[in-house]
Amino acid sequence: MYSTRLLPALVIAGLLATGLAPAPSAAADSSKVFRYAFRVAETSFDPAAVSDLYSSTVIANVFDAPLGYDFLARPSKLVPNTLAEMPTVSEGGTLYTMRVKPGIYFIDDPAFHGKKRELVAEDYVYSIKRLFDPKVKSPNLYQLEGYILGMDEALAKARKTNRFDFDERLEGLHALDRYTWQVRLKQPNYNFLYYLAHCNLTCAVAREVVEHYGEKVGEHPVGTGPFKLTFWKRSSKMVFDANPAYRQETYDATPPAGDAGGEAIAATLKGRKMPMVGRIEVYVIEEPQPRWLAFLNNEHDFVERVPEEFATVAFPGGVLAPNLQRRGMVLDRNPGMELTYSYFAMQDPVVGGYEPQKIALRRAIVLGQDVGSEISIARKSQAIPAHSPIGPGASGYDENFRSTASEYNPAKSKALLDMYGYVDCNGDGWRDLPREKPADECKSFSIEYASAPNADQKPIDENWKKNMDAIGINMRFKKAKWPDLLKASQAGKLQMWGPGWSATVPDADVFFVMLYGPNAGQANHARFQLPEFDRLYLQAKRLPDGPERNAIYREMNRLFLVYAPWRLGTHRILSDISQPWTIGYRRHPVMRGWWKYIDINRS
Amino acid sequence: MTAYVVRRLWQMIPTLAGVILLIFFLFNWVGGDPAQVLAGKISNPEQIANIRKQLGVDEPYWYQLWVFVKQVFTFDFGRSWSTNEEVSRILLTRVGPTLTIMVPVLIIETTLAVTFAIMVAYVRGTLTDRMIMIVCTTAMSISFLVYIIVFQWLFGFILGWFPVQGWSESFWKNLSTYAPLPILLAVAVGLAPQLRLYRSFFLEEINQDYVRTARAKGLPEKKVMMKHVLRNALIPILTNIGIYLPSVFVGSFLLEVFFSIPGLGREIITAVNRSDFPVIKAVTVYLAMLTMIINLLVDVMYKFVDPRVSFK
Repeated sequence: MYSTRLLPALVIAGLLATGLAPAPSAAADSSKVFRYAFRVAETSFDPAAVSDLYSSTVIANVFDAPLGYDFLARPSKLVPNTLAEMPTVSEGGTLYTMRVKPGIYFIDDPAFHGKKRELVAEDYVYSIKRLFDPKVKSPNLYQLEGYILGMDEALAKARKTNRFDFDERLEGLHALDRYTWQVRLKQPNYNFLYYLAHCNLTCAVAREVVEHYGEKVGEHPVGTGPFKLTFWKRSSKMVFDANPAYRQETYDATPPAGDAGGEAIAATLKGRKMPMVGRIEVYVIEEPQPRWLAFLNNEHDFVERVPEEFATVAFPGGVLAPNLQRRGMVLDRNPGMELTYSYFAMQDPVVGGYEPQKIALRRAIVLGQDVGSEISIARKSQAIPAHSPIGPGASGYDENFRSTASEYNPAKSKALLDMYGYVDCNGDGWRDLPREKPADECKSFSIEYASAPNADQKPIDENWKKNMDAIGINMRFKKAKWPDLLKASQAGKLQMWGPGWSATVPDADVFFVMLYGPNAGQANHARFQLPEFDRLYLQAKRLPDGPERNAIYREMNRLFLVYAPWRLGTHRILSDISQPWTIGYRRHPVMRGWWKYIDINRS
Repeated sequence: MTAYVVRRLWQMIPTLAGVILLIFFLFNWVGGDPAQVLAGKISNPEQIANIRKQLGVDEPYWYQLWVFVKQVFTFDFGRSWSTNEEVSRILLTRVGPTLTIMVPVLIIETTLAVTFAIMVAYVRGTLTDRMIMIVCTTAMSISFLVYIIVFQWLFGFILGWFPVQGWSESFWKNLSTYAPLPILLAVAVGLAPQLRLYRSFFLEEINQDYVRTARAKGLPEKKVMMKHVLRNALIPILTNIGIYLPSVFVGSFLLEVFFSIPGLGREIITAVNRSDFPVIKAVTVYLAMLTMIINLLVDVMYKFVDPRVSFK
């Protein structure tokens, strides 16, 4: 519905018809250079230390996680990457056994003293342990903390001594032999398979490299992946050359039935040795205008996430503009596996609480806020309304799910407020708190919405203000920088805030984790604590993806809508445009290591 | 003069101490918790406490202040909290691109502004003078951002005279290919206010008695303007350049961001957005020191421009 699937098919079919398609056996061609821009500067190239999207993209193309994704399969499908086969999951989803393919080598580096260095099981064990090393200060630790047997004790010891003992054999994480390693979880968690494809958690780094470069390891990405860093001007330009020693890997992707564009790509590139382009040049251009103009000027081969400012000229109504179509450009447009939302602090005396009166207030606010106008005005129609907390494309997401609980209906909102006694009793124009008896004193209230002081947020704030004014609720705004808001939120000092969330693994769990009671003060900003919801959350975690788990997710969604700890916002639509000579690009919901799947044909 | 310079250098010490104290207290009380930033979106109190310990921000204030003072005098601000790059390396590698843009801007802008200002002052009250002042006022009323967007679109995209953005490793390629458009922009924007200001300096001098006397003595107009008026107007011009000079080292972040120039201005904005305090603190302290040194140099230069100035 959102993808322009036919265009890439036509372009590739055209190339095939004119005999211009690349030879199937061609390997990385050093004359093929793919250039594009990041909108935010990279921070580091140490997988354990980065969490931002752009650094994560780099590491996913330089290092190797044990698993990967089928590039064209939708919904996302895990496939072995450096493993000989998919992990063996046993003991009720608590024991994972992995076997690394022999013959995979790190790129040459002085840390190896001139010797070829093979990827072995111990590299993965070491790399995962690094997340727990207090010196690394890993922002990704939360994803594994509390799950692996013995790791929490090792972490507590390391925090006391400020030294992690990498040589200690841990029951929950160890190598069985040169190529086999094992992870034992405290409780069943089928999402752990996804973690094995998430580079920030499980990409392999060599211990010699970390010890050789010390604090500068983030400047020396030495991996086994398809590309290697050859030039780097920090926050300005990065050049990656195809790794000449990259293992024999050929293009093999399976698009879903009926995806004509995907089928054309698969037919064209199937069997080609990867990576196909010899060089990737990445420029850091923060401002939308130069990024867009550089693309139009053919200085770049691809523009990732077309700036919203140019959406109306680039693809009015969601269709590529005629002038760009004439140039043969290809639009790829998909809703991102992400969510914007505004939470209510559940411990707050006004908007929080689980009593019917408090639920009514939150649900009235939800009914009174027009997400549609937020999308059209603030987000320039580059988003779709969210109907559940699960991001599009994630396991458990139901695109047909609709509920009247999250509709925009100011009349119903006002009626609900009136019914529960939120009326203007002091005549100041704003609704007041409910009174137990008519003779009681009027208690006025206002709601403070926290937001960052930037231009993107302003129209969103204005929309909230306008909508709340319309239903008689006095809304004020607390302005602070994002890190300060995060701190205040985690300390439970905000009444309402809209932080947003982007998935790193394609599963509903990464969204519901924000509503799980024990995560209050961390991922659960609203501090929503409902025993029934928490029970279902744990139950779902013990089940593999399937109808049984989806039924639990539906029930969790129902509870969420009833108690309304959030106002659901939007799923942003991500639009990428490729030049006609860029072949094979498709946005994958979570996979960042896509450089090896594209080709360039300038002829 | 030596005694004067030594005295001024001594006077810098309490000023610098004030700057250090101000920055320290501002960052500690207003700046937020760096551990929170580093811990990421999801963290727990143990993790945050651990990061605070590693950064040393759990130490008593007096100890943190002592560390800060040591950093200032050893020129070692440690590493960036967000990228782990050495702060000294950040400053050294970013100042080059900034100066590649800003030094030509300073030279061209000052030369053009002084030249046009003396010419306009000479024809004061005429239609030319009025027209130029109207153009200057109009030019000053338009936002710098508008200039950047229009120039980049027109000269970079439509006409193709310059690249839309970019930077290379070669100084000469940067100066000949990537720098001209940002320089042109900065000069276009900065010229109008400078011209107006310098014109007022020249007009002030033109109306002085010594100019009337010089003319009465029959000196040629060229000599009156270039020798007497220009030399006397140079003192306020020098003062103005002295005020402007420290900004040359931090650059224009708008130009650097829009043209993807890896300069110091862009780095400062990135550091502010990431709450990267070691970088912000280093830049702030060194900029304060630079400003004091430039002020001293400007004061010394007064003596050479105007013999009536004496060091006391």
